[in-house]
Amino acid sequence: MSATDPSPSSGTLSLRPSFWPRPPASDPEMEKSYRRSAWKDAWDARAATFVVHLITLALAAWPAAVWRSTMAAAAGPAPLEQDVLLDIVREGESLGLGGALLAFVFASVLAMLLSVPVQLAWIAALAGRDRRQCLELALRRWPRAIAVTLLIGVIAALVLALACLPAYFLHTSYTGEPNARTHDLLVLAGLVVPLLVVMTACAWLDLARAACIRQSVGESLKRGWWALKGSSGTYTWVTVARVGLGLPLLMLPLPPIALLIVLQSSALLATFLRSRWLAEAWRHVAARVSEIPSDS
Amino acid sequence: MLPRRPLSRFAAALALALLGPATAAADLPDDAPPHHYEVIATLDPEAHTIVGSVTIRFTNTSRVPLTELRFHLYMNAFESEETVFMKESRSSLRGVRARGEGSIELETLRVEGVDRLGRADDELVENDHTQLSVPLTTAVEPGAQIAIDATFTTHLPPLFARAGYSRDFHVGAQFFPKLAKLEDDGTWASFPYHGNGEFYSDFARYELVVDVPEGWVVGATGARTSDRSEGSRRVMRFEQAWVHDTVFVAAPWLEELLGREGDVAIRVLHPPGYGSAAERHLEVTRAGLRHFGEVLGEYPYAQLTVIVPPRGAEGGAGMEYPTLFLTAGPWLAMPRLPFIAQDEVTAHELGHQWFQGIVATNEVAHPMLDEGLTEWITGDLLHELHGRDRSGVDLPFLRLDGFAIRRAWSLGDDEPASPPATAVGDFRSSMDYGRSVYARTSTVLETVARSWGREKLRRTLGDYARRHRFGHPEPADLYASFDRSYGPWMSARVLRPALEDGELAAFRVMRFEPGDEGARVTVQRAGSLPIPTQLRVVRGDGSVEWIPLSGRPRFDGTIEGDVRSVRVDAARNALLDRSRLDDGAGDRPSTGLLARALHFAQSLLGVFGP
Repeated sequence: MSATDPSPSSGTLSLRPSFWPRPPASDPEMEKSYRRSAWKDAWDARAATFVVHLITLALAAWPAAVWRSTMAAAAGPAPLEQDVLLDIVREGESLGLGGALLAFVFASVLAMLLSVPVQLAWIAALAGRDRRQCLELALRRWPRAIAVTLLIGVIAALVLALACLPAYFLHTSYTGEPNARTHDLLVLAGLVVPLLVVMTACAWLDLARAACIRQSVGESLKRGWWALKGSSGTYTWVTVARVGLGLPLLMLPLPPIALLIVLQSSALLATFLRSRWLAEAWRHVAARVSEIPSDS
Repeated sequence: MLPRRPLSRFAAALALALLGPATAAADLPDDAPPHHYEVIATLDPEAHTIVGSVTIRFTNTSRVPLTELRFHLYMNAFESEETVFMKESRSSLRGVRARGEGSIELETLRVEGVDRLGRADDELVENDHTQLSVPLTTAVEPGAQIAIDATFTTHLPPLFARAGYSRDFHVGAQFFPKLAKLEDDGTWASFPYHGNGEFYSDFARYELVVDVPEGWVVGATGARTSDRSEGSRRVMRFEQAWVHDTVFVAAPWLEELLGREGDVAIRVLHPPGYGSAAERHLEVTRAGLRHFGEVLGEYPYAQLTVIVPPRGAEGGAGMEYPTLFLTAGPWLAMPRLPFIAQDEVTAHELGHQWFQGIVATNEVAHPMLDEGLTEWITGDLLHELHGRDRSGVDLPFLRLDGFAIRRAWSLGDDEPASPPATAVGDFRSSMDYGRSVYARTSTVLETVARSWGREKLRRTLGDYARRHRFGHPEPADLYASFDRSYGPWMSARVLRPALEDGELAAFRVMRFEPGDEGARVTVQRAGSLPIPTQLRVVRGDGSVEWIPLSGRPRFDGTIEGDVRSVRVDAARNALLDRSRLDDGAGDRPSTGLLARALHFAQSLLGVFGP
């Protein structure tokens, strides 16, 4: 497909500064086709997705194993039962649960360090690159992706601070109100905007990282931002689905083996859904720069 | 908001008519109480002051002539950082810090029409003016009655310790000069306002006249017997016999929810927006009146007022007064969180209507007799409402026994809490006080309930509460009720060691060596409390055997068969064990810990990961 041309937006009010390039016009039919193709792209790259799942699993296994062995040593294999649960909480420090927390912190830091190259390689795989190209791209574009991440982080932090102001003013204005329900609901409503900012920033980050495989930092930020328009719906439902497949399933009352199967299946499904999103993200930003792989 | 007030006033009047004569007492003594108070209080909501007067008809109920009167002026606890209360509490109560001062200025004090203020001494403890000693020139003979009258101005403090104000929400408690409790031997049970302890008084008839701005809503001790407008003011009179205190709560925006349980009219006053929570408080109050009435004797008054304080007034929340209590909790009804939402506080403050309200013990000398017993009956009510294993938390993925939470609270960290039978001033801190008096006393009683039967314990406490209804019992009276019910060993071998010495009943599996001939097992008991328990033995074929360990300090032997696991007190009856982590050994069915831990870590790492 050809690059889309900027189209004038005559007669509409725009907050876009004059120096900011005009976004190319989006084609709703084309966006639908991206969504359809994203399922296929995600399925085609299932091997890469499984590798990503294994990497996360390996990182998670470390603190989980420490935590499990510490608790099991203290209270047997059923430390979550009522009769000992509170004693574990009460004696947590002396039982060495701090070690598990430390392991989790290290695993998180490692996950953060690995996340950029792994995501770049993953996106490249979703774009149809072979294994060698994926690794090469991941290593080559790592610094660029870091720069994109830092810039979006700074912008998001500034906007988030502004977005929190209404909630803060609502809180201070209604603190003395005897109707605490009014206060709480208004503050909750005020927090919707910061939540949207966070979600937008996360989606933008994914899109910009997808773009930075072939584009400069500035161009990636710009193209990623433009691509938000057609892809934020997908990001939202994928995020909601991934949250639903995460912590809420943790206390399922199932036998251990069944529990392991269900929880790991849900984790794998969550990873697959993310790959589905990243595939669509890639198509959105690639469409803006005429870089859809030649076989699609 | 504005149109609501006249409607609310009308509804209140209608309720007054519909709910019947509120002065009709359900089960009060036939004779009049020995003392009579008439308190007139005019609230200035802008200055947060109460200008008032009190008239007391006092009878010498002791065996000896009296040459001194002793008053409590408890608002002076907040006049400086140097008072007993402020020093003991470190200017903070239950997480709320003092944010201003409060005091009571006594303008006149006359005994039989003669001014006695000039000869009174209000500094019985250095820097503390919460007690007032008034010498009498003429002794009051036993049985004789005298008239006392006083005028005063009370400056309410910002609400952080039971009484005060939070914006336009006012709690008028301990705001007038009140006589200390006169004991039979002629001594006054007088003490400064302590950081942890509460109150102790004689039963009396109280008449309270509250004068507030027109449109304000008032909840107070007793039945409202008149309600009239005087210009821009609203003046209400409340009366109640056989109570030992009177208080009022006032705010312009309080909304009212009315209910009834048997002969008792219940009035829940709550901030706007708290409707669903108020419904829950009413539901728990009704259930509590039924349960406590059955176990401890009928609630004797015709009305009960429940105040739901607004956010910001936490310093007044969770406090009991005769026929009125302030509860706590969020605006949203949360019946599945019984220990931390509405249920526990309402049940607890309602329970105080019996333990300290009707059975009026000395809260400073024997706090376990009110807070401790009340904490147990609170847990007992939540046990009835939710079931044992859900009485703390009842979420789909997490259920907790309320008494297991109290046990964890009582054990706290490494340092053992002081024994519950400790006077208020002798606790190391408010944390120590809470762990000991509330949590430890209730876990001792729950251990008794689970070891020797819940109904038996209820009957025992019922015997104690009925025998000392409108009385002032001491710990010996409680022990006597237990000994009558269980035998003389109960107080000597269980209650006194557990409550006075902090004795534990701990178990530990020292050895578990399964083999072809059976398993060699050693169980050690620590502590002298003869709590009966059992050793659960699970064999390879899934069969379960229970071996009694009644009172044996040590079990050491071989258990035949393919023994897979052993566990002491698997039913979780003994709550006085410092750690349950050493109570079992051998295989136990896995709860999928690794699968859960893995998924937990994966979910969290998903936030940072690719």
